[in-house]
Amino acid sequence: MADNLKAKRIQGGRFTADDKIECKFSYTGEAWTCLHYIEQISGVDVTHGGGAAAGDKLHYKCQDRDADGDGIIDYSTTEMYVEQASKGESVIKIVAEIMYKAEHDAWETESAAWFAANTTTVGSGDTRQIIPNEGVLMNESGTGYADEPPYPASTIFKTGEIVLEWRDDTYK
Amino acid sequence: MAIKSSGFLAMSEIVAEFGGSEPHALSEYYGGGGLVPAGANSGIATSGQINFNSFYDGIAATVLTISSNTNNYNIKSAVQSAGADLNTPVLLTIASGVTVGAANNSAPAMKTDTGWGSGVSITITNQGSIVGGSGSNTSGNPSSGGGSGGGSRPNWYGFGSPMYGYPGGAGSGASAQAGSSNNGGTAFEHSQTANNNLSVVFATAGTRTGGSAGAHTVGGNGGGGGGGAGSRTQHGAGGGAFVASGGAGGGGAANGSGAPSPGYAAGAGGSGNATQGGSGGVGGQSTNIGPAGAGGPGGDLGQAGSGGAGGNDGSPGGGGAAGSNASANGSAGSALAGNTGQIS
Repeated sequence: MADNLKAKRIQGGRFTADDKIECKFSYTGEAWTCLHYIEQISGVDVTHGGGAAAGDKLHYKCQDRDADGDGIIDYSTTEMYVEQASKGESVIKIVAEIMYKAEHDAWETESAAWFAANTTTVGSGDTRQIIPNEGVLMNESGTGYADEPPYPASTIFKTGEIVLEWRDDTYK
Repeated sequence: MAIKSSGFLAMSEIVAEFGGSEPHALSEYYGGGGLVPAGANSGIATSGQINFNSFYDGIAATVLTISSNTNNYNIKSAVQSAGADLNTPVLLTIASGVTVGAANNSAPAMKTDTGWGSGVSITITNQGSIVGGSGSNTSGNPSSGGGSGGGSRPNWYGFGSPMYGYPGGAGSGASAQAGSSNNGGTAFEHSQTANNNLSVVFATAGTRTGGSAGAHTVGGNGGGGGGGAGSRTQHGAGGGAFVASGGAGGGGAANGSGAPSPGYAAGAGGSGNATQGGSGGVGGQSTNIGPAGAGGPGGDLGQAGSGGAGGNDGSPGGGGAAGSNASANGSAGSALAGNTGQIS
């Protein structure tokens, strides 16, 4: 089954500003890291609560608490707190940005091999330099080498649309 | 049952109400004497001449009536205020529409108190309501559980490694435990637990309701700050380059730990204290290179941590999410408490 992200509201209701969203993330292998954020589709603004805007990519896990003995965090279930800024209806999607550990590890290996073959490190502390071998070219911005292995891009998953509602109740 | 209110009154009717021993004499029946309770029989002389008609409505009990709303009604105190003693049966009426409440949840709305004589009965006709005090709503702060700050990739990995920051940890969800102040108070307490000879009879139960429960709410912990992104730059004609690690993220409140310094000249994140998140560490800055991104500060209580600042390489770590609040409800108060086996 392909990797996928689903979410549902598990706490909150029509008459409260805040809701708790449970995200079920089915992914292959292990995650190096995973950040969650909110994509606002329409309606009143939604935040993470706690002063974080919808687009802030937040870590809903904590290495100290959630990692196993190998430092790997299980992101398969994440509870997010979302909060509507004012009364009304909001339509959102939950977005997860995952860096697969397999991709990260492959890059680490590839990168280390590339630097071993193409550069020489000299000095230490603030005089530490990496000297490229003959023929190795810098990139245009001067912040790296043209041929060094690029860091893999995170993979992005989105849930379907989730409708949040915060309304006044009425006296009956 | 009281003596009738009018008409011909026989000595036998007085004896039937108050008792006494033969041969009977009116001198046995002075108000406040051994046979006639004073509280409910104020018209009966306590000495000197006694009129027969002063015994109309006489009753061998202390009669109390609560005719307006009141709080924390102490039956013992009311009896003593009426001039009666604690060895005489009590007839207590709560008038219709009257509520006997409680100023708070720490004391019952109504209680017998202690010190009653053996075999005494309190008969209550409750045409109103006896309602315990509501539990309080309280709030508190967590003492620990702030998210830890995210580190930044140290520069000893080499020039080729993107100098990204690690994300800060999410603050723990708070946990709350209700305390006694959150519990609702008791409506009616039979206080005399050491002596089972005080009986309380609700001739009319009426409304007897324990106080509603309050809640104790604890705010969520702050998230840790994200690690800053690093920087690297070309230096010199030979194409050499310098690298600088980003600063580490600060820990969130309460007492989240900041991340250690990730590399040369970069700053460690500060630890959060009880209510405020720690500051993010400064980005490293080596010779001939601009500063790398600083770590993001940890969030205050209930606040998310901030993401780290960007350097010119890699990406900063995201802040940790705030922990969720928690709330625990106390218990609703009891309608009847104390020596309930003696309440009927």
